Amino acid sequence: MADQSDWKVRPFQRPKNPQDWPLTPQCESGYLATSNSGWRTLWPQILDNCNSCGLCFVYCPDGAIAKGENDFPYVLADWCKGCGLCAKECPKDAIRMNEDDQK
Amino acid sequence: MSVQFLSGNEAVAHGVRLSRPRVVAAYPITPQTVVVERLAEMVEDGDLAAEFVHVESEHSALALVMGSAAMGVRTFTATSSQGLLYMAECLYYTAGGRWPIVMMNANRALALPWNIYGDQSDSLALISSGWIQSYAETAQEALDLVIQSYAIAEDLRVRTPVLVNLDGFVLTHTYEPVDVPEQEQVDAFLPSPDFPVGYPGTFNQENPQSLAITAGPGDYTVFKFKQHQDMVAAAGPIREVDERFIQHFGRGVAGLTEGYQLDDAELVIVTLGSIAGTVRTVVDELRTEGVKAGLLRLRYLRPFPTAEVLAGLFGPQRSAKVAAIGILEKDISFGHQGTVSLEVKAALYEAATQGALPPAINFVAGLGGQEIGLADIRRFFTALAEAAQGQQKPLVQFLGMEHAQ
Repeated sequence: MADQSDWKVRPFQRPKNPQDWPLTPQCESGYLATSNSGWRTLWPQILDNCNSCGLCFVYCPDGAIAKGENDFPYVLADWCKGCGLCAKECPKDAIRMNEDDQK
Repeated sequence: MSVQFLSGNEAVAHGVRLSRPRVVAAYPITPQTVVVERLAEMVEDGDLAAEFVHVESEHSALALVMGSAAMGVRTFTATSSQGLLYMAECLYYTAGGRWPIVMMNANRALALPWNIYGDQSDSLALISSGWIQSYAETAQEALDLVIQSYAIAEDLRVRTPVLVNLDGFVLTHTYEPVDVPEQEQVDAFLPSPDFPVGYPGTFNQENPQSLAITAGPGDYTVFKFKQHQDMVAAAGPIREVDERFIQHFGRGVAGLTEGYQLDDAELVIVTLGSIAGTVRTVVDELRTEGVKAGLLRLRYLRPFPTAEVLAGLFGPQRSAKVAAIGILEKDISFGHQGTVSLEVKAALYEAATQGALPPAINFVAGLGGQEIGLADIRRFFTALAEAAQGQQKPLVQFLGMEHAQ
């Protein structure tokens, strides 16, 4: 399992002078310069009856669900857009879409 | 240097060979095909050490050289007409990514009706794509422009792709004596075709990068502002390259425009491409009849040489006042005027505002979803009020970049 701390957004420090901006739209690979989840209104809560089947991990269109201890899933706040596809697909109804409290 | 009897297309191929691109990908299309054929032969004969990639379309050709440029090497492609329009998506992509690609375009009419002959509608349709655009008058200038274009595009101050245009058939398929430089001369003129490590827009295994990233509203504007600013400023490096080329090779034109019998001309034709040669001949004839005719040739349309056009038509070196200006182009922007006419007349407005007409400011706002608020509109009106009172204002203003322009 990858270290979750590597998956955070490293905010882009915007220089005042546009000449100090990167010439091309590029950055060092491996991180996001801005959060990708700004438009999220719902947040998936994973309930205790989850049996770690991994279907949500497979179905998530943004790769925003990771496998934790014993493959128990957890959601990455910087990537989840709150679409609810995981909750729809979960055969155990073990994912509940709540009002987003992660911002 | 050797003088060879070459067509415009062959001259381009020699210019490319001497510039030593590492990757060439092109899809043949009339009247550009000979460029691709000659380059394929040069690679086959070992005269050009490049990967020559056969692609299934023009879109793929430009996408392929874009990827090659991202790996840090010099590249070349060529197209024409429908092919250029098929590439359109990749033109904006390469310009936004600032990859220093050089492309030759054989200016040809657009369908329908189907037509394979020359006109300039193709490249003029893509004048806003972010590519530098030059127009050759002769096969010699076409060869020279290819070499110059690599020096311009790869300059870190410019880092913008260049489209070199040749009139279809009239220039691509006619033959003239062309000075073909020696390889050593061009090697001494151009930097290495392998870009230095860490060159912007490139990556490798030791230096992994996320290329062509997303930028939201606000950030997007900064990239576009820089793209515009660097394109405007590219006029400087273009002139430097021209002057260095003249010193190095002993021929050429310094500047983005060229005048012929211009300084005392009362009737001036502004034009571009190979038709300028025909205009020169008529100017000579009219001069013998006592008509003060002149020519102002646009070598570059992007960046648009506003200052040079105004200097040529109204500068202090003039010994007579221009009485009328004609703009000659192979294009029509349906419902208005030809694209070059619109460009030249926008430049002329800057001269006119020193007299009777009010200043006109271009507010560039809302790029990439940038929000335009009531306060912003109010600021635009404030800027207009200040301009009306005679304050000098930038004629193109980007919202959110006020501190930088």
